[in-house]
Amino acid sequence: MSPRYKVTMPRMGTASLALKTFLTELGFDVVLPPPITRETLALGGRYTPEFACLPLKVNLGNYLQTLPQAPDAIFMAGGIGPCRFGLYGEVQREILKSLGYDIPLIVFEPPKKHAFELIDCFTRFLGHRFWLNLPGAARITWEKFTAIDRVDKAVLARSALLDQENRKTLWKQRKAFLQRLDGLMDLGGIRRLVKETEEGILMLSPEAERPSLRVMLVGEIYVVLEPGINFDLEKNLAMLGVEVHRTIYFSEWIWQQLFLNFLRIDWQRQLRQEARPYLRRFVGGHGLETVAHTVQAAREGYDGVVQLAPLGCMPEVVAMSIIQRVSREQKIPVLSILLDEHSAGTGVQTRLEAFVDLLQNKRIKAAI
Amino acid sequence: MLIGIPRSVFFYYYFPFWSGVLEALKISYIISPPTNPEILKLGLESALDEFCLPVKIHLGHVDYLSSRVDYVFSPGFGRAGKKSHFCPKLMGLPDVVRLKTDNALEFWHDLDDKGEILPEPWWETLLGIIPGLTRRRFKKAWENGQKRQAEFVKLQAKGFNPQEAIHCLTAKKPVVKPEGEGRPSILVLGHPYLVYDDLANLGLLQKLKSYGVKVITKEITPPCERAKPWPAQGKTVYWQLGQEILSAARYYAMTRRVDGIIFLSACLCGPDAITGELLELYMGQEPDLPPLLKLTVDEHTGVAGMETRVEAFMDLMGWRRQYVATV
Repeated sequence: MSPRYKVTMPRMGTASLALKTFLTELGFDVVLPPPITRETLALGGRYTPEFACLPLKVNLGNYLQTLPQAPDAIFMAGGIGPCRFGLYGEVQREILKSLGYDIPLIVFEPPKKHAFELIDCFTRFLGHRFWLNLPGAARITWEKFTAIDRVDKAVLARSALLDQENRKTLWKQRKAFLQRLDGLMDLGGIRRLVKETEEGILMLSPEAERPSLRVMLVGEIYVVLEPGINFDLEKNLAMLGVEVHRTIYFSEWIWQQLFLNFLRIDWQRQLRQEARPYLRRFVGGHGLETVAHTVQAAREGYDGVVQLAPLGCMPEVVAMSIIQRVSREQKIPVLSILLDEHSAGTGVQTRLEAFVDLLQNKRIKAAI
Repeated sequence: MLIGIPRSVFFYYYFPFWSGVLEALKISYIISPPTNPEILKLGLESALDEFCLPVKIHLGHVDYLSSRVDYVFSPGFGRAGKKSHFCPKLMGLPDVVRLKTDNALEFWHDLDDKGEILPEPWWETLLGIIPGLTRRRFKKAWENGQKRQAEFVKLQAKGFNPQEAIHCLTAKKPVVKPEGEGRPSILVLGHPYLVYDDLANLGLLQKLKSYGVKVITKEITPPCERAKPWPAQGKTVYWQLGQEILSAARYYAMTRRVDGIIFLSACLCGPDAITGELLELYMGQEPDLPPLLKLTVDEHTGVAGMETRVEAFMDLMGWRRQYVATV
């Protein structure tokens, strides 16, 4: 039997659970970086350019924290622009090289052209095992992605209806779900766990019939999905009694990027139409989505919009400038939070609380 | 009808083309003056804090023009060939401008693989303001623009930087060759809206010239060297200007044609944060390259701070020359 290679990858919220499963099932030993803390940010920030965006810095922090365990390779995703994400791999590899780490950094690009390179890379590590393990690995990974997103949606919908005590129980249930999911490696087990968790969520009896406030959460995918970066914003907002409607789910994103784009299905059409009065063109990353969802939030009567982005993120800065106008015209309050390695949790929390107060006052005024 | 052309973003790359098209269509235009404190102030008032200096300056020029003309020429930049892009902020720029200014007129630039602008978006915009415009007249105007642009490119090949070349074209003055071989020489890298905007860069080029330095900018790079990657480079940078900056640095540094390189970028410039870092890392892997100075400017940059850094850099270059001469 050929040796098992040890690999690592950057962390990205709960999605890293499923991605870890994918690589493990293919036949790798996966070293997942420890959860992102201020230490990760400090470590990454020390060796990366000052004005690079936050995810690049965090990724590098992740690598530096796992490199002492001597992995054989780093896996990373890539892109083709115009957002900076597609060049992370190049910069990170060169930085690691300059720090004296000689480790292959393997970048997954969108599969249109790079499918063969990718397969070639996997078969080099895994031999024919790759082909044997691929279908099973893909199946269980997909199951995990959808399980996480299903439970997240259920939790977010229920949270706003509960009283403070039940709310705490609910978020504890979510945490327990994630912990148990991490150990599961069979489809049946995952399905049973999701069912169990969903039943547990429904057991918590609601205090109100309708949520008092509904907020749309938009922005750049990484900072939206990584609680270590956004100071657990989603949970904290939910704890303030707000129904959070997150617009980005990893399983949906994978579906769009890998399948719909590959089949050339235009899944963005509706978004483009929604954004058109304000933003007519794709500006990279999630810029267009941010504008489209803000317009949608106004149309569907949400109380407010929270935009999350790394400081200096080019698509989101354009979007931010534009949704200020949307906010004025459509009378929907918008809170933009830009994050970097110097952001502090207390500052973010204060702004969230002030924003929720504002939304509540607006409601009360409208009722009078 | 009067159109106002802002002297910002890619003015110093495409103005000859713009003016050629407009003149052939008998549209009169005015150009905003070189960026001055008043324009900068207008920009700072209307732009989001998080934008980079060049976008703020652009919004200032637009604001300055908008009350003085019927339409403001509002350029946007998308693709540069199949594989390259402009910066996302320049893609969203016409929309940002449109939401702030009522009389902005969008002129979209998508480049094909040869670097030629695609005419279709221009046709649509111009049809909106010139009733009864025919395809034939449009084509003629387009060709006039291309002719003007070709003259401009020819001047650059002779060694004029875009600022000087545009001056030659607009002032209709006899063409005087730029100054010859003076030592030392410095390659100044950066986007045209910084390198040729004397307010944004605090007069860096003039300052260097006053020290007797021969200033080289990336537009003078021989065409065959404009896309070549560094030896260590794994992936091409997909912002056209970013790769041009890296390739120009490679050409001038590896062939030791310059004594120093200054990388000029704007605070919060997204692409430059990446290309600047890559440049530093690539250069670090080659022996005996000329020194590199990274200058970052924003609206708060002070002249004294910049002068000190540039003077220190000049001293460093001088010592290196002496050292090489004695060893």
